[in-house]
Amino acid sequence: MGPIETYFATIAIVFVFIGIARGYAKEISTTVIILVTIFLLDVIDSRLNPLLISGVRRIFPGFSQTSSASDLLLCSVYSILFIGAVFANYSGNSLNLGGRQARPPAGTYISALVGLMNGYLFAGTLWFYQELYNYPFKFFGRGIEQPLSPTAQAMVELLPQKLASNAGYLMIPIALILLLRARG
Amino acid sequence: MLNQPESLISLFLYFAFFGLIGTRRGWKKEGFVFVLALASYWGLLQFQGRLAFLINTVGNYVLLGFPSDQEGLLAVFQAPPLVSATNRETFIFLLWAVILLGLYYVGDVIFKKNAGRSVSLGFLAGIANGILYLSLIATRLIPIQDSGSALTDAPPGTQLQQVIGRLQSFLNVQLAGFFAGISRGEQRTLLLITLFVIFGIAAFSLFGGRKSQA
Repeated sequence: MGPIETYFATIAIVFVFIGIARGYAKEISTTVIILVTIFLLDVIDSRLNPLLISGVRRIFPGFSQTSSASDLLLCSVYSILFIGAVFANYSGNSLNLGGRQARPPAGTYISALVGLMNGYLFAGTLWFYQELYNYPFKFFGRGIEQPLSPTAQAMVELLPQKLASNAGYLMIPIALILLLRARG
Repeated sequence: MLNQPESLISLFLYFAFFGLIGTRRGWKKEGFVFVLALASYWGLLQFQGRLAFLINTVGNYVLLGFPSDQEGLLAVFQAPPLVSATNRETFIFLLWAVILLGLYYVGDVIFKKNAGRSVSLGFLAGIANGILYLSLIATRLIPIQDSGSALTDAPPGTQLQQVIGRLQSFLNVQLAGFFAGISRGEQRTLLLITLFVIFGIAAFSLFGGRKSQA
């Protein structure tokens, strides 16, 4: 499949364009959804993993917790949950935080920055689950290029879930936006 | 090498590109950026010594915790300089790049959309900026082009591949230098703060200054 950092950068750039097209007044709601989803997945994963494994074992008794199939299952579940949450925000009724967007050019710059932030959070989270479960995804028989390049090895330490010791820190911006929204 | 017709065509395309940007943005905005970008670069070169002294003194004063006693003040002047002879050029260029971006933003704010619509003046002002960037920015890109074998010797059709390859190695070297310069914990903190700042700017811009719509 090639170097993973290339995919990461491509997704981030696509999000920059989405950010500019939609404007940061809408994109900030996506940031909130992404941050909340990262937090929730972080909270539930230690409880959900044994449940998922035992559930699959009941159907397939030979299923091993340490197998690559188990990695593929868990990585798929978390990736789908995460993509689903983000997709729901884009496709359905977006979380409307209101507010008035700044005019161009300042508004465009902020939209690009918020888009870049969303791209980092989205692509970074998908990469995080890939890394956590040993890069199980393969397309047409080819997986992520291994070993990772020196750049990718450095970047993998800076994924969203690794920024703070506790995912609760990622809730700080949401508290800030709620406070500002309450007075607005 | 100077008699290659391809170079002449490339130069023509380069100037035509900047000229078209000039006609789109208008000569007032382009002229504003050109004059102030040139003046600020000249000013930075002229006053780099004083500027470095000021930043070193104020920076070390802040870093040492605003000392007020004699020993503390002496330590401010004895501390290693933040802007030294080795990194002064980088610092000047970084400062100029920030000023340049700021000038584009200020120019957009000051001049209205239809200010300076003269096509010929806009074209000339755009070309003037093209020459300025050729001297100040393009010269900084030469090391990327020169890494490995000469790009002009690459077989026709492989230049794009060569340029992308060189850009990738350049970014690898730059990122490796950045990652080696500061600890992992500091990198994470820096990134977290950057995210919070972006989020804070967006949130404050939406809800901070005035009453929101919803």
